[in-house]
Amino acid sequence: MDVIKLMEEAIENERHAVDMYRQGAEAAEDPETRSIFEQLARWEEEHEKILRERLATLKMIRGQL
Amino acid sequence: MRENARPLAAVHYYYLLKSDEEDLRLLWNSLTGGANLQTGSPLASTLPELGLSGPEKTSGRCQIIQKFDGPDGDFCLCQLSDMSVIEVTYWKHDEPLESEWLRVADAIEADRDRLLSGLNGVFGETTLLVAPANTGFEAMVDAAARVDGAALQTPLDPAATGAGPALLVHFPDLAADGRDYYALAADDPGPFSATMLPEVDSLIKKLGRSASYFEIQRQTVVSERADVDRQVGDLLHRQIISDADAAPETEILEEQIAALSRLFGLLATDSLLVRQSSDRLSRDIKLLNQELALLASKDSTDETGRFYLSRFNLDLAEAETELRNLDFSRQNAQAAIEVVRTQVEIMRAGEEAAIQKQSKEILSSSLVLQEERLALQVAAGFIEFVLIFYYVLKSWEGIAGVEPVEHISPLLRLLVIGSFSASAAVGTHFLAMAIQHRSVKSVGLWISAGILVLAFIAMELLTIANS
Repeated sequence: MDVIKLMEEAIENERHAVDMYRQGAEAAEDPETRSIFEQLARWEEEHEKILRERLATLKMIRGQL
Repeated sequence: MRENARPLAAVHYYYLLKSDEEDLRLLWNSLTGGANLQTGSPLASTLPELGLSGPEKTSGRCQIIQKFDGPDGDFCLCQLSDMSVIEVTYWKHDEPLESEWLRVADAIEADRDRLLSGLNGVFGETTLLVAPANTGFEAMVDAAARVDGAALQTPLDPAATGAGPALLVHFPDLAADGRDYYALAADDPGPFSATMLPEVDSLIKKLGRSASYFEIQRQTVVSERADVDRQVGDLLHRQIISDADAAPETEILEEQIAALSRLFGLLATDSLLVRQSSDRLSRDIKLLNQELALLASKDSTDETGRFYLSRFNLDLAEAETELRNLDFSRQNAQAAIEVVRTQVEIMRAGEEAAIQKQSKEILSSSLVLQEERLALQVAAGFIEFVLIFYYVLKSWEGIAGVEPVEHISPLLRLLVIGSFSASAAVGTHFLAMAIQHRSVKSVGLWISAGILVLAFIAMELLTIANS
């Protein structure tokens, strides 16, 4: 499988995870649960950001080759 | 200055990879409120009409594709070799410099989230704040003093920029998430801001990305190399331990060679990766050096160039160091393979010597057996001769009678019966060989048969003569 497609899928998965944790945070009945979901969502957002940066760099490098 | 001679307050650049065409279209539409994005032939030929007649060298590479004048700012789409740049120009209002910049910064931030939300992500952004040359130098030095971090000053070469005396200040410590900040003091920043800065800036961004990507790659390679070194060390240590006890099996040694070869291959692949990264860094650093040399004034220090070149040269030096480390580890793995291979060869040589010794022993035993068999054959032949001699004599006496036989001279009797018995015994041997070889072309067989017949005839004649 092409690594760019794979990374795009990974980014999509991270996006879904962020949405899921955000929904979890909204539906949380106590502050502690909400805080955990928010933390998880932030982690996934960070992963998504890293993946996007790597993807852009990879595209740039491939474009130069 | 640009078209309507209004002074610039700031330019914000969005950099996108050429391959991200859809994002480019979306961003352009969001910025311009739906102005059609024309793709196709660049509008470089219209540069003079647009007041963007920068030096031919740079304008030739950074080509303007499309322009759009909006109510709050002008938009320009430029094309670099592998990147598209959207430049958003903010015009100066007659406000003090600092409040002007704050207004522009707020305007940029206000729209950023909305503009970028639907995109996969832009490659990078840069904000260039502009001040007139006469007031700007002091103002920028003041601003730089207030910035938390370094403010790198690069006086620009008036001949290269075509913009008169100009000072570029870069704030590297403010850079984050692919965003960079510059300030420029110049009377006519148009050509510089439109075509020259994006070229250098995009190169710095690309180098930054490459260096960051390489750093992650290098960390992985370093970790893999350490792991390979450990495994090679373990294998060699096992060799030493096994030497002390008993020699390992050849199969185990061959498995070790296979494992070491795999590790060697891993190191070779890693070397290739690091070599490619190093070449790419080296090539881009050279390019950046050339671009900066064109821009910066020859009479003063280019702090921005010095900062980035030393940073990227450090990354390059790390790549070179890692290449040397990889070579060293590869040589170790190669040496370990040779050690194990030599041991296998020694073991095989030992096995061959043992086989040769065994063969010699078998050959000696076979020779002894052959000699014994020959002795037995001779003994058996002699016994056969004696038995035939006895029975022929007794048969002759029985058939012809004892008296006629006794009248024959004993020497003649011995000669005739001896000839008969000897030819019978030897003839039996030749007959056996003839049967074995399925051939009667045996001289010995025929001579034996002849002597046998002659002895028989002699017996008959002697009997008649003495009856």
